Amino acid sequence: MASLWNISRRNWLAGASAALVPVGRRAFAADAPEAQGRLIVVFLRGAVDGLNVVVPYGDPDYATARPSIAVLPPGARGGALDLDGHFGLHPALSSVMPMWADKSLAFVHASGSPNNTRSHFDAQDFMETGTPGVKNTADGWMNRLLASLPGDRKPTDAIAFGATLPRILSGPAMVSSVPNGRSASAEIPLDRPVINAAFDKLYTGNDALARAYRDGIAAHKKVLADLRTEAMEADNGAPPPQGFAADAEGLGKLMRQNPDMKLGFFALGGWDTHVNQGAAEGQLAPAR
Amino acid sequence: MALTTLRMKPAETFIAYGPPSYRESQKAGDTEAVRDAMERARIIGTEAVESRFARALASPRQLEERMVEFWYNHFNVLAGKGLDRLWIGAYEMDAIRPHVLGKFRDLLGATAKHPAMLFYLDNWQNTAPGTPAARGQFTGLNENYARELMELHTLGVNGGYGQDDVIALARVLTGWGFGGDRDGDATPRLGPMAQRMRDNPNLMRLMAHNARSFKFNADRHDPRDKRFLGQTIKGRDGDAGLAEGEQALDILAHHPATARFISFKLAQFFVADQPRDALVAAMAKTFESSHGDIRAVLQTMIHSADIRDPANFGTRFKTPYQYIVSAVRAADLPVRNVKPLFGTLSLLGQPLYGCQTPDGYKCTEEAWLSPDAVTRRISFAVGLGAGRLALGADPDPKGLNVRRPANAPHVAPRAAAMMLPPAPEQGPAPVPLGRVLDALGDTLSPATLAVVRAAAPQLQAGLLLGSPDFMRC
Repeated sequence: MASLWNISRRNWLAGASAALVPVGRRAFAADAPEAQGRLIVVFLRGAVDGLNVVVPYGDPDYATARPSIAVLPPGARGGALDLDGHFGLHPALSSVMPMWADKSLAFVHASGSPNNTRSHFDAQDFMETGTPGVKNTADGWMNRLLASLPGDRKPTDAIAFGATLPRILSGPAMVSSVPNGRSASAEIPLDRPVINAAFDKLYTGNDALARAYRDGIAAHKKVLADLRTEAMEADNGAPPPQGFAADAEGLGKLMRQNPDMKLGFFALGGWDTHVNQGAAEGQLAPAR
Repeated sequence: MALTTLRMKPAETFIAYGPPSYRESQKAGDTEAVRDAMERARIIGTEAVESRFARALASPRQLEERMVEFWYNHFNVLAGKGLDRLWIGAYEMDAIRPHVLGKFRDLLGATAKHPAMLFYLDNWQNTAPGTPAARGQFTGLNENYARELMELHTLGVNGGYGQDDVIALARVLTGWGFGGDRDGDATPRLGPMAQRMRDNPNLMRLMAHNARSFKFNADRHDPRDKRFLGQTIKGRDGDAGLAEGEQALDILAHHPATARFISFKLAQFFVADQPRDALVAAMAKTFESSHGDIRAVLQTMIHSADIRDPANFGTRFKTPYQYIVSAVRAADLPVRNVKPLFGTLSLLGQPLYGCQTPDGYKCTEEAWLSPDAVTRRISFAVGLGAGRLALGADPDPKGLNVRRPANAPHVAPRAAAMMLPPAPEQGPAPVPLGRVLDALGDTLSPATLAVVRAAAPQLQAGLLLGSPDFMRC
């Protein structure tokens, strides 16, 4: 399983441009729903080392404090890609430099949880609940955000990619989850007319369960139809690509098709690189 | 299923499956050894899941199994937190199961002293500042376990304690940890020896014999008097300091707030999301008069009018775990391969041993009823009813990824494919409707029965197991 994590990280790097565009272009604004702001959160699990991603090469203490793992300044072999004369980007992230150049990419550096736990587990929990230091918060901050948005809630207002609902989106507000990769558009038994018709007869009431059944089928059909329409238009029926880049593309399509969709979430593992991290070519860099 | 890892003591699993020492893996210059150890340790989580499903599905003592679900959640430990991947199986076997219908104080004590809990809620690091052993990872007071012990395990969040009590209890519990092979050596430091020991069964047995699972480290304990919940706990030096913690557990186990909190949770689990105050009060009274006899508390509940009240009976929305287990029991299929069950539970948001927060999974309709949940349960029911879940197949020799179930994206496509009903001309045998009807007795509505009987035979069992009637209990 461990190797999967690296693969997913590499895929992310390969498809980074697809992932970052919507974040930079349209900042979410809760007080301006008519602007159709959206928020996509990509959680890099495992504690990424920000100082080797956005490198403060202009700070003399940086190289001193990291004699063996500092990314070299721009110009050196394997050196950082200059951002603003002080900070530089890890060379493996060259694919996002065009977005930096056209000012649709920003970095918020040295921002983190005020809680100083050394447990990665607790730290990422706090990132998802939004309550640093409090372990018992049951819901995630994105779910609370969703619940506070104006207007009626629809099942496809918030979409999470992955097999289970992540903590960050769990809570009372309704969230749809879309399986990763090819299975996002996989058929389920309820897609078959005979099965669907039989279950429709079982769930005829107006109780909470019957309503959930009908909402679930509606959300599934919408997601399925959107993914398929886009896939047919864009790929002419070719099998969809896999990995994070594909999921990001899938989410982008869903958001285009659904003007109401507000929140999206991905998690991507493989960032716990503090052993053998290296500088330009260690664990933090992708395979070449 | 031999399930040998479930019989191993925490120290034994640490030696056999724990991480190689940091030094040795650095020396070797690669992280492969760490990765290999992680892979090897998957057997523990796999066997814990196999054991849990085997008992839940086949045990004739179903109340006991419901109580295992209840108490494991109450005293939740997460497989995905560090060393707990090695200890969840032993934790359930040794700390939970023996006491699920016994005395609450015994259950509380067993969980308090189990390395799985000591690690999960960090008490193994809880150290009185300034004591001889306060160094390295053991620098200071860690309140995590003390707080959850009151908030989640005993008194409840409104149980009438304050931050002063949390600190006092944390001080009482300083030094409660787990021992390695040498005095003062915490189990994680066993690492350097693990690799060599692993291949030597004699040394391993000797070491496991000497290793104490729970260990009171007097040199990290705060020996001063404490004021806790209005009582004085007399501080004690040396090994006698352990008695302070026992006294605190006594106070907590016999506190009226604990009686109410546990009774409320049990009534919510078995009777209604919002149980009547009178029922909770009656159960709490039994709890107090029987000194926390769980069996007696359940008897009060079972003999109450509330449990048979039509407003309650059969109305509780099943948790994913209850849904999966009850469906497979009703289908009465032999299970050799639990992977489809484990995968579906993860899809439904309730991976076994995968609850991150110490409060465990909730059991209310609000927590589990969602549009997604219903369609996914139906997918499972149709696949199960059609006999397509491969439950009788050989288990995957690679085992299950219990440590990170949410990051197993390949569960989804396979599960989805398995759940499609068979082509009419051939394929796996569907579950006969009569078998499911026998199991469910008269719990089905006439409307549901009519729809089911009118359907094609290979869909009938799936319809029944995916019906609104079967979603509730």
